[in-house]
Amino acid sequence: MIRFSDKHPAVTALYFISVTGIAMFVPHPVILLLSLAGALSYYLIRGEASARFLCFTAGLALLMTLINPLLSHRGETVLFFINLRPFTLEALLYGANAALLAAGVIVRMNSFSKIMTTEKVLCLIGRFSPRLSAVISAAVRSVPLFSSYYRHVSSFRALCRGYDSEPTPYDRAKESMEAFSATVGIALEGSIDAADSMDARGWQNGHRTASSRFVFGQNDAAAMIYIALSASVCIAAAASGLLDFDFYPVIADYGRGLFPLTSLVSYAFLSFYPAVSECVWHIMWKKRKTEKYPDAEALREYNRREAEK
Amino acid sequence: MIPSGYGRLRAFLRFAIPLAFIPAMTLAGALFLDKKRYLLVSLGIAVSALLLFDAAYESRRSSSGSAAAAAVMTALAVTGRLIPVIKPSAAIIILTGIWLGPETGFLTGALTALLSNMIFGQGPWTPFQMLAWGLTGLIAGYLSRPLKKSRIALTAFGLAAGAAYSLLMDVYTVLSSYGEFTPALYYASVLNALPFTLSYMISDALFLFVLSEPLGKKLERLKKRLIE
Amino acid sequence: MTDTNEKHIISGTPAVIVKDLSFTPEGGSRRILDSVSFSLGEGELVLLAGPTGSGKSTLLRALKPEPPMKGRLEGRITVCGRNISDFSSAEQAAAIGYVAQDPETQIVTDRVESELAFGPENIGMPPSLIGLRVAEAASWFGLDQLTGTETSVLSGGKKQLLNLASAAALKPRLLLLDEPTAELDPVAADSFISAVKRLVREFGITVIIAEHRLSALTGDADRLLILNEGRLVSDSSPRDGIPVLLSIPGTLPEAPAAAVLAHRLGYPDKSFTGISDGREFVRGLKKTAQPESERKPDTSKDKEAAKGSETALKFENVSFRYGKNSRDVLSGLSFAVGEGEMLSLLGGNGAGKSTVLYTAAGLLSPYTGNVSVYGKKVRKNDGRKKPGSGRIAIVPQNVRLLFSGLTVAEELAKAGVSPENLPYGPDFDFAGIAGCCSYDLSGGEAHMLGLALALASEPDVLLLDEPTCGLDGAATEALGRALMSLKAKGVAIITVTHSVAFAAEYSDRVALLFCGRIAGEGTPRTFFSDAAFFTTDIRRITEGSADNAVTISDALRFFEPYKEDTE
Repeated sequence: MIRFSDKHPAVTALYFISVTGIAMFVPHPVILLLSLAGALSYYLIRGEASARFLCFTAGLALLMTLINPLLSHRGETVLFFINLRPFTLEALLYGANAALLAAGVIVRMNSFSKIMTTEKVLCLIGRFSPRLSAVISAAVRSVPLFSSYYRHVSSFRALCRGYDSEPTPYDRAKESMEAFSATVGIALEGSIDAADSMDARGWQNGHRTASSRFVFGQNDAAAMIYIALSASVCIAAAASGLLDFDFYPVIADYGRGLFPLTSLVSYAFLSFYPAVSECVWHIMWKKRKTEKYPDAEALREYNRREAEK
Repeated sequence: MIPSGYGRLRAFLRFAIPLAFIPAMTLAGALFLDKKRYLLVSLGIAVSALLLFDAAYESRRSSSGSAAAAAVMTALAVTGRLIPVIKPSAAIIILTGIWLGPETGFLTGALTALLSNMIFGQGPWTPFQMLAWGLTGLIAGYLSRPLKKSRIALTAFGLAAGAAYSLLMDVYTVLSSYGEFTPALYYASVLNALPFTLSYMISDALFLFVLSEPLGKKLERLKKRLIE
Repeated sequence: MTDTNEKHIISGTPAVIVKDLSFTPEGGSRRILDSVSFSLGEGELVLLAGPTGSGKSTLLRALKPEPPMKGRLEGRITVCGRNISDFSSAEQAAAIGYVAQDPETQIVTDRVESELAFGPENIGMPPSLIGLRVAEAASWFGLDQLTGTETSVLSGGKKQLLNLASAAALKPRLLLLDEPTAELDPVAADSFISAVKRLVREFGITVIIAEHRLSALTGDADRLLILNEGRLVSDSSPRDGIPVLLSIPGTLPEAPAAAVLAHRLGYPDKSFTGISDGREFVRGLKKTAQPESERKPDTSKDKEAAKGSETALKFENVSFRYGKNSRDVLSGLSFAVGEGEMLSLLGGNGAGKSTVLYTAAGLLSPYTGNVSVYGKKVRKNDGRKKPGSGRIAIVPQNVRLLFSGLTVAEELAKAGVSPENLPYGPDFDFAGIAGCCSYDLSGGEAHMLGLALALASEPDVLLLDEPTCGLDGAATEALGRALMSLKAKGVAIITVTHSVAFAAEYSDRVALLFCGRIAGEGTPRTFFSDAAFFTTDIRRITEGSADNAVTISDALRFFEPYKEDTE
């Protein structure tokens, strides 16, 4: 069993595109709730949760919920009046729906950014566009180098110069700009050597392949099928209009019967997939810890017998 | 440099897929969604535009000089986000377009968005950001002659680019969250983003005004060394 | 010891044939290479030497079709039996490898394995085969533990080894190395050279390596080619070539110490490449001499150092670390440098030498202890003008970090430096290079400019981080002289260096940094005489024969009476 975050990048990409895509284009409240719940569960289970991030997201959600009824006055159930304009329940719920969507996407994308490392992105891009992936790789490689140049340059400049009084923001800005300009100069000089290094190793040869350490295995194929299936059920239901949901003028749910219910369950399977995978992973390792490893004597005996064969 | 057989098929697909993408997305949007169809269509357009550019890039001979320059300018634009007070990213993209050509400008812009998001956080907004900044570089490249001549024009372009980028991204924000596009929501979104918009515009303009000359010289020098 | 001179005649088809090679750069009139001809066999390790500007880099670049050179190339070059212009992009990448001097800028990908895969990917190797090639190269070069690491966090030595491995991953028949160890510390340089020797021995790859520091290679090289002013002045075994090299002005500090000693003592035809040869020679000298000519070393310099002078920079119990839970980089470090004194700081790679400099400059603040300049505590610079005395200047290892990309004249003007005020003496001035862009300067010229810019603030304390890195013999001497005149003006200097010879020649005191503190210090004479490993070649040669001779001048003074009479 391979952990979700260790799967082939194609699986990760397909997953996030499906789960986010459905959430964005099928704004059914249950779907959005499932999306947020699934995103949050994975976010929390990974153990890298940040209170600041969650507060920020919650705050944004609240803002979105409240802004909508202040600007949009459609809907039948009026709660109260502001400035002679109606503050309707439908508008409030619509705002809440949009907030659910936004929050779900933000949390999901946070986890995505952590799992989808540069290496994985380059693996995917490299399969289709080897030249582009080389350019991106060169850029990634240069970022820490250039920020180190910048830090050194501004330190040395600070050492040499001095102001007569407290530096103003304009002085600081000008100083940053000049230090950055020097950084650009050094960086560009290095680019000439880089270009030579690329040519020396055959860049001008027209045909380029790309390799990566990620191998697409059976496990990954199974995961892709799982994702594709659960997403398709949902998409089919949405395309048939069974997951339409109206807020104005009154709240109305158009899904009746087994099929829409199945599609919601299917989306749940999709949304919670990473969290469940992570759970299973932890349980598996807890079990392994309690297993005993063979002692040294047994191991030596085994090796001896193997050597005799 | 088109390799034969399998390679030709891949090259054809590279162009065919994005070109087929736009009508497909538009159709899907029209048929299956009544809300959010604009989002789907615009997503389709953004992704197709990027894929088309990529197809063109892979099929032409690419010199190591322009590849290295694009990589370096992209890295500089991304590093620029880390320095205090002033954010030179958009300015770098504009200067790249002007001095190193529209294609390199587009590439630098798009990759800056991609790379920044890889480091600071991805989102479904990535294709839009890539397109927005790519276009900044591209347009700057096409306007290179007048922009090189006058510093005022360059600064004005910087202001306009900063504003346009912000306004464009606000369109996306509204479309993605609320599904429908009403002027009220758009104004609210623009107002909400106003401090950011203003800071982008001022950063851009200030950076271009002060540093276009020294950086221009450096880029000119690079061009001489890299052009075969 | 067989004469290796005939090796290339005995073996089969020459791997490289160069005939009447000349090169004139674009827009220039002078030929950088002038009718160079030679031929090399397979599996030869060839050393390419000559003063700066003699055309070594140009020759190496001419042997590599891509990147193409801008200018007119005349003559014929044949590699592995084919004319070099017949090679396609992929073929030239595979057959001819190239490693340049700067380890940093050659790396173009973000991870170790993608860097190794870069070449194979370019030539269109199928991905499965690339995987195998990367695995092999990483294992063979000892980089397998580093797979997955980002290239930006590697040490300089590892970076350069990675560059070598990436070039070798394409299975070249010819490897061109342009001063690859110039910016590496001795340990890293040594492992790089070992890897090169293994490539030659185990695969029969022909390697041409241009170097200034010849001592490490002269023993193992099969051939020595010497260029001077674009012409090939010598093509022979290293032993025979060294005397020719020594006859060219400015190359003295580069040649093996034993050879230089022999040359200066008047034995021009005695050519030595290694330490043991030198020791044999020196012992031989002593035997033929009369016993009463035992000379005492000149200790006047020691007396001067003992004289009391005001303390310029003082570290008292300084400790520093980067994070709360990380290891101490500096740990209770204490030392002092007096007015007009030069201290050389030695130490292994990563010992924290640069950290000492940055802490002295106030760019890093210690969590405990005190750093003071003329009694005043050094504070982290907050942009305000520092009152009173106590100015500190630093020249970093990468000198370009001080430049703004303008012409030399503009850089000096911007910093407010007038060339007349510089203590450079008559042998160096900026007039010749005033119009050059600062990024175009050679290593030596760049360091002189960097020093000039650092001196703009008229510092009392000057900090130099590896100033000799990448410098050739003549430039090192010029730098040494400039530092001497600065010392005379009362500037206190701290030099971090891994060049033991430089420290021995120019500093008043030497200290070894280890585990965050000074493990030992003393005058060059006492330090290098007592040291077992961190000592000069001269000392290694003369130990047992001469007392406390650590520099060439010491040795010459000692062996004065044994000088061969040359008329």
